[in-house]
Amino acid sequence: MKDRRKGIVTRAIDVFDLPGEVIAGLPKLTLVGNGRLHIECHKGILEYDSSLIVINGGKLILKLRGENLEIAAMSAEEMLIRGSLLSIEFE
Amino acid sequence: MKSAVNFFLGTVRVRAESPYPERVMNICAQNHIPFWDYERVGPTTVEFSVYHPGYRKLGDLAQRGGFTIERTRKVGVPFFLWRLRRRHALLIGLVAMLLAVWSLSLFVWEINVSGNETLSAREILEALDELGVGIGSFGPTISSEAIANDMLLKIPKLQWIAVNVSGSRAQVLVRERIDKPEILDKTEPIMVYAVKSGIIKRMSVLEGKNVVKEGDTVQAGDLLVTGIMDSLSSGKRAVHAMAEVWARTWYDLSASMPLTMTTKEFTGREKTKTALFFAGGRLNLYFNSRIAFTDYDKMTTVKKLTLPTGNVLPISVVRETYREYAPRQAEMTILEAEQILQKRLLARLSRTIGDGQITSTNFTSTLKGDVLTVSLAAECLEQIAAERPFTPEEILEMQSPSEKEQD
Repeated sequence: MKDRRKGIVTRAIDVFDLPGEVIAGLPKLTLVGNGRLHIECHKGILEYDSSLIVINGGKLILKLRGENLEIAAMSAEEMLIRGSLLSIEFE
Repeated sequence: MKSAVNFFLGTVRVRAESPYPERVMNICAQNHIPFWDYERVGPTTVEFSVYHPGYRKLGDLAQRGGFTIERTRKVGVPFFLWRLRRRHALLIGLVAMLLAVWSLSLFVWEINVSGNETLSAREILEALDELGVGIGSFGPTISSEAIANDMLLKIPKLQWIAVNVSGSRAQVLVRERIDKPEILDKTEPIMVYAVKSGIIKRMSVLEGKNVVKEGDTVQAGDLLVTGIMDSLSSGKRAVHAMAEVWARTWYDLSASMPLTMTTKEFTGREKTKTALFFAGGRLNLYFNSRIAFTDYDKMTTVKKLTLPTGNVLPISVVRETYREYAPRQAEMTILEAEQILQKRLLARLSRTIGDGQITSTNFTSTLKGDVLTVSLAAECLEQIAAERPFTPEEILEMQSPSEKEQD
């Protein structure tokens, strides 16, 4: 049932060109080079370090690895991360 | 720019201790507490900066969130003002200043007059002052309409006036009445007579009949052109006689002056006093008003203070300079004295003849003791004709013999 519902939502997003981050509760990532990452629709920080930031993305967990990472600004929905990013992993 | 905003809002550096320091960040984000410069100090300790109101909010959340916060540093205007809260004199001073600015803005400090052409701004300002509108008058009591009506009665030359008071500045706009041109009444009986004695050189009679001719000698008061003309129907008729009569006139003027006179020799000693004129009053910026000099010249300069923007302030600085001099007897040469006297005589002659011209001059000098006397014999060419109405005798002469009999 859950799988079916997920399928309907994903299909609806594809068919109607809806903003996925709103409907499905997925984070939207905007990356500028490897130095600036803008995340919308996050659900909070799970771990924070200058080399690793773990973010709760609702249905996904984001693992950002890099050097001199820092959170430049943060609000309940948005977040801006600065530093030199090496990788983004999804779990 | 950002740091300036932070300074005005007041920022607090917070040290938070929690088993999960990331939780503190999430709590901040969820509760709309902006934070920045997040730094990990230890495994369970973080430091970050928040605005002053955010810190208060965080204090309430800390207990519920299971973490402790500590203020390590605070900078900004709110903390500075908070420190000053017990300094009552400062607060009173601030209130007094605001009151002073507000109350002073109700008074007129500057009056601008525009639109006047023949009337001087000074005349208008003086008339306004008599009606109670001047530097330092209370703005809200000035009724522009009443002032305008009174001013029109006071200065008849004004056709229209508006007094606009905005804040501490009064703008006076005026329009002047255009004089009615003088209309020449051609039917008015007028005679032309001589105002000065002389020999007539040139005559141009526009109306009337000339009594004298070119080359005649006339005395002051003599009739030159008569307004009584012969008429075929009624015997005589009156006209408005008009003429320009140029005559040669002679003048004998003399002036004298002593050759020795007292001149001033400045000793170089000076004393300057400064005073301020403000709101119609004078504020002396000196204590000793006595002048120690026996003979001195006093020079007063008044300077209106202006802002760099060109606005004139209602304050004038008056500087009075007293320069000491020693009186000294000076001898003048005859030539110098002659030149001075000749110049004076010529100036006096020019004033007497007005539009006329000087055709020849002859100066003679006589020295009697210490006094030099210079005489001027001058010949001039000038207009000597002037108009006057008929005298009663002339009117009587006008009447025909039959009318005289009736009388």
